[in-house]
Amino acid sequence: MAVRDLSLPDRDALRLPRLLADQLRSRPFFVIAAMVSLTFLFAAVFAPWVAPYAPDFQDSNALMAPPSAAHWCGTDSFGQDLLSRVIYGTRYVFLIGFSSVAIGAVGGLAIGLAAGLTRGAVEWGLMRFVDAILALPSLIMAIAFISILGPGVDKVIYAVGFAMIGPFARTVRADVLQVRAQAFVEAAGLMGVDRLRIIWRHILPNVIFPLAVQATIRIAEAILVSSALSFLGLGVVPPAPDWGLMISEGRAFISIVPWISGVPGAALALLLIALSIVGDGVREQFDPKMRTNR
Amino acid sequence: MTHQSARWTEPRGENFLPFTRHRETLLSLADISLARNGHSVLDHVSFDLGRGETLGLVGESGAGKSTIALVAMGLLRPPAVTLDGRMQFAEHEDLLAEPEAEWATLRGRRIAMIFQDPASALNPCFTVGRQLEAPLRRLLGFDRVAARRRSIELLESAGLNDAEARLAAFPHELSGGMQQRVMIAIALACNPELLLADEPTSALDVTIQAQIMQLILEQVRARNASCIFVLHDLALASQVCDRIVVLYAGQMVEAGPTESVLRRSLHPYTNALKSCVIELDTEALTPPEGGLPALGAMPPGCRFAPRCSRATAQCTSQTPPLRSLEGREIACWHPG
Amino acid sequence: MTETAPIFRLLDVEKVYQIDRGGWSRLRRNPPRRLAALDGIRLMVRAGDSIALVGESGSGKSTLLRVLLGLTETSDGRALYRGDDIAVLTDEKRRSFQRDVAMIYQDARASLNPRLKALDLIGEPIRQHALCPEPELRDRVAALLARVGMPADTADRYPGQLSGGQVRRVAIARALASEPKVIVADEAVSGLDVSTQAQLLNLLRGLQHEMGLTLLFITHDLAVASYLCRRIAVMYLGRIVETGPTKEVLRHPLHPYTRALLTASPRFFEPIAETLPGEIPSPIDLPPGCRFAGRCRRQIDRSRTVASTSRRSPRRAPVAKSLASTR
Repeated sequence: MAVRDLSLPDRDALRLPRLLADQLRSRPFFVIAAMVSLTFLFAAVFAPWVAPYAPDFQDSNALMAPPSAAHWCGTDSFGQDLLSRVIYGTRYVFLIGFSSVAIGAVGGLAIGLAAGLTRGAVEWGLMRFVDAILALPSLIMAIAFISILGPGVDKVIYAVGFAMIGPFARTVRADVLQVRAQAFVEAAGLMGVDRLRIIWRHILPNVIFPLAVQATIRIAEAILVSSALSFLGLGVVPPAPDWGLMISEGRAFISIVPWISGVPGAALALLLIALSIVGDGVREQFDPKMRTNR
Repeated sequence: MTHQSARWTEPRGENFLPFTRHRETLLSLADISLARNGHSVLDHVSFDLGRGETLGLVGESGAGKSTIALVAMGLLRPPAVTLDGRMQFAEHEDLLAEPEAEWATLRGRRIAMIFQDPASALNPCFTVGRQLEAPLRRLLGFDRVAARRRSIELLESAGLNDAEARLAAFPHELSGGMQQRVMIAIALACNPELLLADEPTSALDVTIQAQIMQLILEQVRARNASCIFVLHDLALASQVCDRIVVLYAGQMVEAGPTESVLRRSLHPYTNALKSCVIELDTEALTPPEGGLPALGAMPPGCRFAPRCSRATAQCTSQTPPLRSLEGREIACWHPG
Repeated sequence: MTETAPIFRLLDVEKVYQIDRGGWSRLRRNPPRRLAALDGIRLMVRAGDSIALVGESGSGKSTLLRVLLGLTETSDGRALYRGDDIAVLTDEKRRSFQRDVAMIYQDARASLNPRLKALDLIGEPIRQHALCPEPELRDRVAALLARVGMPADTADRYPGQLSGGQVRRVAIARALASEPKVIVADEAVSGLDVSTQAQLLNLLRGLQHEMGLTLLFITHDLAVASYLCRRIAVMYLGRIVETGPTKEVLRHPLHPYTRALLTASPRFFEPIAETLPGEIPSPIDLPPGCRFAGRCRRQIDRSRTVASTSRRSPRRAPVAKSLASTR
């Protein structure tokens, strides 16, 4: 009896240009958003080569200069090139975004797994801990943290990451509960497969994938929170070219030189929108519940 | 014929209409071909359905049975699929060519459908009463009181006792059998001329299956409506259908009166299907090997040839045409 | 008469779920409602036996199966595996139980981890019980696949890439992997095309004969029961109402419920049978008397009040009916 291949696309469809063209046709927003996100990522990695100036170079001849050939996006009150600072700022954005989501995801996975697999007091305790994290909005939570730990990039990462543990733990626990109720977990138990092996081979893989999808969506949130912290003066310390900090610095002049806040603000908005669309696209691709044709 | 009046025709109980050989044709499908993503799903399907007649579409899953029902309901239309052929329904000469607005006047009112899984076909958010009254008020212009009275009548005729109380129930409060009865009541609310029943009992127990099938037949006959059953159980089909269309991989292989098609099957596939039916005294089953060909990989010639014991070189190279033979239509090079 | 030792024995097994009414009822201290899923089940499964459990959904078939597998504890009575209580097996006996008793689920797709290939799925019990060294695993899985009529390259496929019938075959192959002595199958052929169902029935029948398996088969289809199983137990609302040799029971059903099931299944060219009225009632707070009385055409006042218990008819095993002999 021939085995029918029901799900794999034929090999041709996997070639990159064709895949790109197909994707562009079927989901144009996703492709554009992915390209925007990749451009930012590229800028972050190759900042020294891409940026026209050093982030802290002060052009005393061009204080608060409007966009020009020399300074494409204008300069700030210290005469620093805004474009260069935005490009260097991308490094902070991604560093904080990825690292804090990683902390949140790993912490959430550990707590969620433990809570989902146990019963009684342990589960109760863990979930009340998660509730406590969730009770405070992530920004407030992070502010509280920074006020204890003090400012700095690493502290921002810890603070935002910790605040993310709550939502991650919740979704992981829900997934664990759902997976462990499935027949294949019961079947493994009947075959005598031991508990750790069931967790490792049957439960974990079915929880990790939705978690990864969740993580891509949460990166945007982490970036937003970290920028807000910097904006409030609680995060990254000046003169680091952080977007939130830059927006905050330009606030005083917003009516006369709007580009000082406007340029990093626009960059932040663009990146967040792009990341959200990418996150949704990834979810559509991998979440079996949203997939229409299996 | 004139548009069906909104008036309720009492079911005539046991006095079924006498079987008439020459009936007025209600539905006529001619050379219906349907392709999805470039893959042929239906290939030149043609059959007529007389008024008051019951017809069974049988075959394995993937044969295109449900697809035909969806096409006849106007639920599968271009541009989602490419569709060729002609569908004549009552006074509509070429329904497939007509716009959605025309379909909307037919769907639910003159053509109705019962689905396989009543639990998912009923909206869990609304009470039975609301879902039953909606078509009455929207399609037939009943006022609230009349719609409610009529709903109770419909539920009673669908065999639900305590109908008035059931109106306030939500679908999840009913058993599968009762849900299907509600579905039948909804489908018959507007006295449709054509009822499509897609595996109406395969989610139910056998005892309930018999009840539901009996109910559908009674109700359909009382209204002199026509019914297309999509079934996979040949024995059940032999009990409820006047005529039978056997489908394989989107093609008609044998069609005709149930008696002749199932008692003296000529197509090897019909015989193969019959040999799969298990009965109490079955000693040995001899099912055909393998399964249906994949959508993108239809074999040339007769699509059943790779699984057929009678296949010859002609079968694997030339597609057999549908022709009349011994009171039926058959597509086979070596019938018998 | 020489009889082999029983593999499974159920001694008056009861399973009652207490349904808390919650809210006001709890405040008013109403007693919780009782849902009797199993009520006084007596069953014996001997080595080499094949038993079909039939009945409508809600009759307790699946609960009975879960009790046999040790997944559900009994409220009363005992479920024994080779003389030992299934709920409290020693580690060593539990290991042999896990190896000797294999389960085939109704929803084969759900019983297979979608993220594992067939090789790992079928290989899991083999690895677990260390039945062969790792390098030979692939050959062993290929042999099992061949056993269920699948090509060897299936080993590298995920369940999502297989059709419904193929997934069932893989599930059967996995059940055979631990070289079990008993196969327990829950509606293993339902919801499939007639052709696929027939292929699988032949496969199961072949396996049963060639490997001398003991088979416990849950089905709602009497014809399937008669094709695969020598013995049958008809269940209704948590009780076994009739049991005996399949051919005998189906040829001369004594219990009106068995008879109703028989007439309800469709037969070629016969008009749809006079149907059993109503539906299986809710098993909560059942009235006294025969449980079938509400739907029985022959019920008289006696069966309403006298709780029928199983008794032996002269020819065969128990028929739970106070009027059974007066048919």
